[in-house]
Amino acid sequence: MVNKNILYVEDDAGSRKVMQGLVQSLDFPVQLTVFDDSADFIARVERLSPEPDVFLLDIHVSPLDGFAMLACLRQHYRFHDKFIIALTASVMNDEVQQLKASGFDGVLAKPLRFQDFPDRMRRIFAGERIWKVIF
Amino acid sequence: MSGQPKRQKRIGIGTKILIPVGATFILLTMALAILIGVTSSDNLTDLKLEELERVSNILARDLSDQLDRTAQFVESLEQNDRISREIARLSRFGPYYADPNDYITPGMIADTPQQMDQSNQIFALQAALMLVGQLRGSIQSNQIDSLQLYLLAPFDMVPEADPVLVLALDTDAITSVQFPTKGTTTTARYYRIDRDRFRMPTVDYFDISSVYSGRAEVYYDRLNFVPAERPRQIAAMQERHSLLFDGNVPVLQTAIPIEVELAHPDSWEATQVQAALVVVQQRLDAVALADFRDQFGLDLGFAQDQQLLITSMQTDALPALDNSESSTLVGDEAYYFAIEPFAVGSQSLQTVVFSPRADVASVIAQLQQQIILIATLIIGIGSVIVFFSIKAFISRPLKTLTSGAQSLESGDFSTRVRMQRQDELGHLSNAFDTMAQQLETLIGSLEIQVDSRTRDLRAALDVIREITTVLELDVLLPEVVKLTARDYQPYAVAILLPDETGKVLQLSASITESGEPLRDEGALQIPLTLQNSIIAEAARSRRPVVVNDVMAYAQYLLIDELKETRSELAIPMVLGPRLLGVFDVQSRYPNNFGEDELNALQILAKQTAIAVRNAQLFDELRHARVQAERANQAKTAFLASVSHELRTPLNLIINFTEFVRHGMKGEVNAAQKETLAEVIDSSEHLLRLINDVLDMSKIESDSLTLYIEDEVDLNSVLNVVETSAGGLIKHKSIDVILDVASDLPLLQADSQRVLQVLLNVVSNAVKFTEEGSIHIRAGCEGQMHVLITIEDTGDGIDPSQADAVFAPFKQTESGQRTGGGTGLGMPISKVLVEKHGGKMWFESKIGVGTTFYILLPVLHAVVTT
Repeated sequence: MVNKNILYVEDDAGSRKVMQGLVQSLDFPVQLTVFDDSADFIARVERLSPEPDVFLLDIHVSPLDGFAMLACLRQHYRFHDKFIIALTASVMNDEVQQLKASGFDGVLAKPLRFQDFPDRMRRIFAGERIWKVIF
Repeated sequence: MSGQPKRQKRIGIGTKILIPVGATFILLTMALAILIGVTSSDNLTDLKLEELERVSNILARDLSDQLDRTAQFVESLEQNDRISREIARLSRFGPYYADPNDYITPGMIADTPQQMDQSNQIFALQAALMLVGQLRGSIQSNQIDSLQLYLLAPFDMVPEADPVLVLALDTDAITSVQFPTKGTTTTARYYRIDRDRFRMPTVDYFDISSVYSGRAEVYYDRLNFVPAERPRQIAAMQERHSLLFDGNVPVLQTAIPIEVELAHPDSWEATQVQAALVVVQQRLDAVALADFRDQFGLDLGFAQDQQLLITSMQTDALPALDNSESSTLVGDEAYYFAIEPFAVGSQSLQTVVFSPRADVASVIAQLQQQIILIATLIIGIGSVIVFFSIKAFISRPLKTLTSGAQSLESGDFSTRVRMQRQDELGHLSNAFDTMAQQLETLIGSLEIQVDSRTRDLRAALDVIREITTVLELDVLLPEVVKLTARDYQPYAVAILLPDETGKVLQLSASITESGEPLRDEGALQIPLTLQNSIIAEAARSRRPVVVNDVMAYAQYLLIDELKETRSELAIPMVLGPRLLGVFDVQSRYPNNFGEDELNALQILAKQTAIAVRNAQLFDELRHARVQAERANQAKTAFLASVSHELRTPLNLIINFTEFVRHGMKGEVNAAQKETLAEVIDSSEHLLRLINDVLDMSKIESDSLTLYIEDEVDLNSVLNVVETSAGGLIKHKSIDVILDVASDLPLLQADSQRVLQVLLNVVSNAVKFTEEGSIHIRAGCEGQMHVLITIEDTGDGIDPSQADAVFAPFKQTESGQRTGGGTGLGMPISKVLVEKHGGKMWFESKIGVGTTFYILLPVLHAVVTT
C-alpha cells in the first residue's frame, strides 16, 4: 500500500496522543500531520505538501469548529472533493445526521476503538463512507 | 270562576231537546209500522191464493200437455219401420189372421177355432219380444207408466171383434199373451216377466229346427217368463183420451190405433190398415202426487165436481172443497186451496193445490218482524240524525263555548270561539270573544314580565355553558360581557379582576353599546380603597351595590367615556373567602336595576366567578407543566453534555490502556495485560451506561427522534452485529449463526438505532448463554414486514421475571447476578422498535433458551406515542 497522508485537527492534547498511538499501531505506513489550532490549519492548508489523502476534523474545536473547517475546504478548488471525516464525542444519531447533511464523508466516534481502528482506516482509504457508530 | 266545580249528574241541553223530539219520532214510526202490518195481512192472503191458483193452473196445463205428448208419441210409433213390421208379423200370426189356405169366413171363428201350430206361436212370441224391446226404451223416455198393445181384426175379418191384448208394459212387469188356438181369443195364455229381468232376443235366437219341434211354452220358460193372470182389462178404448178410475185413483188413458201395411186377404194387395191399438195409461196415484209435490213444493190433489178424489196430504178424511172462502180444514189445520179444471177427452178433472194457512201466517209474522226491524232501524238512524243535528246546531256550539272558556281558564288567552252564526248562540260567542280579547291584552303585559325573567335566566345559562368550554380568561371574559350585553342591552358591561397584590382592580373585559370594549381597558385601575367608586365598595363589602340614580348619589364617580350612565350595578364575584373580581353593569336609564335584574345578574356573576377560578387554576396547571417540560429538557441537555464530556477522557483512558496492553509502551506481563483488559471493559461499560441513560432521558422527555433513511440494507447491519457478537463471546464456546433470507427488502429505518437494538439483544444473549449457539435469523413477514429473531441456548427467563425484561431500571435477577448492563438496553430497544412502527417480544423456556422477536415494517410510518 502506498504511503498515505492523514491530516488531523484536534485541540485536545490527549486526543492527539491517542491518534498518534493508534496510527503507530497500524500495520501499514501512514503519515500523520496534526494541527492543534483550526484557524492555523485553514491558513496553512494550501501550502501543505504533500497534500493530505484524508482529513480528520474534530468537531468541537475553536476558533473554527469542524463544520466551519469543512465549509472552507469544500469551497477550495483543491480540497472540495477530498475525503473529510468528522471526529466527535457527540455521536447521538441526530448529531451524526447533521454531519452527514453538512457534507462530511464519514464519522469516527470518540472514544476511538483500538480493535477497530486499523480496519476503519483501511476502509476509509478505500473510499468507504462509514456512518455507523458502534458504542 | 267558581271555587268548587259542581259534580252532579248533568243533562246537556242537547239531551233535553232530544228526549221529546225522539219520543215523537218513535211513536210516529211505530204507528206507521202497525198500519203497514195490518193491511199487508189481507194483501198477503190474496197474493197466496193467487199463487195457489197459478200453481193449480200450471199443474192442469202440465197434465193436458202430457196427454198431448203421449198421443204424439203413440202416433209416432207408426213411423217406426221396425215396430210396424213387428206389428204386421203379429197380425199375421195372431188370432185373427190366417193363411190364404185356412181362410176363415166371417162367423166361423167363434164356432170352430183352428189349432195354431207351434211355429206360428213361436214367431208371434218373437215379434212380441221384438216389440217389447223397441217400446221399452220409448216408454221410459216419454215417462209413460203403462203401455198395452192390442191387435185389431183388420179388414173386418171378425166383425165387431174386441181388440185382443198382445202385450203389456207396466212399471214393473212385462206381460206377453199366447194364443194357442187360432181364431179364438178366449183361450189366451198369459206369461209374465219382471221388467228388469227381460232380455232382448237376438235375431237368430230361434233356430228353425226347434221352431218345428218345440213348443211355445218351452220358449217362454227358457226366456224366464212365468205363467200369469190376465192383466187388468182396460175399458173404453173408443175415445182418444179418456178418464178412468182405479178405485179413487184417476187414470189418464190415451188409446190410438196404429196402421200397418198388410196384404189384403182377398186381393193380396198391400194395404194400410189399422192393425193394432196402443193404449197408454197415466196413473195419477200417490206416487205421481208425490212427484208433483216435489216439483211444486205444495200439497196437491185431484178432484171431480169439487169432490176431492186423492191428495198428497196425509189425511184420512178428504177435505171438502165446496166453500167459497178458498179455505178448508184438513184435520185440525186450515188450508188455502185453488181448483183448476182440465179436460180429458169428453170428461173433466180438477187439479187442487193446497197451502196451509199457517204458512201465510208465518210469512205475515215474518213480514211483521221485518217491519218492526225496519221501524227500529229507522228509529235508530232517525235518532242518530236527530241527535247529531241537535249536537251540530246546539250542543257543539255550546261545547265550543265551554272549551273556549276552559282554555281561557287554563291560560290560553288567544282562544277565540269565532262562530259565524246569526242566532243567539252567535251573539253569545261574539260576546265571549270580546271578553277573551280583553283578557289577552291584560295577560300580555304580564307575559312580557315573564319573558324578561326568562331572558335573565338564559343569560346565566349561556355563561354556565361557557364555563364548561372556555378555560382561557382572554376568551372567557369577553364572551361573558358579550352575552350579558346581548340579553340586557345595557350602556356598558365590565369585569374587573384584582391584580397580583389583590389591592387593585383592573378592567379586564368590557363592552359598550356600540359592541366595542372601553378604551380604558387594560389601563383602568381601581384601588380597593377608592372611596367614591361603587365598584371598590362592592369589592370591599363583598355585597352587590346598586345605584339607581347616579345624580342622587353624591359620591358617584363618572368615567369620561361613560357620561350617560344613570344607573349602575356592581356585583362582587366571590368564591368562598376569595374575591375574584367585580361584575359591573351600567344603564342609560335611572332605576334600571330592580330585584329581578339583581337576582339574575348575581347568578351570572357567581358563575363567572367559578369560570374565572377554573381558568386561573388551569393556567397555573399549564404553567406548572411547561416548567416541568423545561426541566426535563434541561436534564436531557445536561446528560448530552455529560455524555460528550465523559467521552473525551474515556477516549484517552481506553486507548492509552490499549497501547500499554499491546506493548506499545514497553513489555507487559500476562497478569498486567489481564488487569488492563478489565480497565477497558469497565470503561466501555461506563460508556454504554452513559449512552443508555441519555437515551432513557430522551425517551422520558419525548425528544427521542429517529433518522429514517430510505434504503437501509439489513444485511450490512446484521454483518456488523455478527462481528460484534464474535468480539463479545471471548472465551465462551458459542456459535453465532447468521441466517438471512435472500429476498430481504431494503427498509425505511434508522439504521443506527436498528443496529443498537440488535446489538443490545445479541449482547444480552451472549451474556446469558454459557455454551451452545446464538441463531440470528432475518426474513420477510408478509410483504410489509421483516422479522428478525435472535435465539439463544441460554438459561432462559423465569416467567416471574418476564415483566422485568422490558421495564426500565429493572434487571432480571439473573441479569443482576451476571453483572454488567444497565438494565436499560431492553426497554430502550423496545421503544426504538415501536418508534419504527414495529413490535418486539420474546419467548423463553427455562434451561432451553430465549428467543427475541423484532418485527420491523418495510415502510416507515410516523408513530405517535
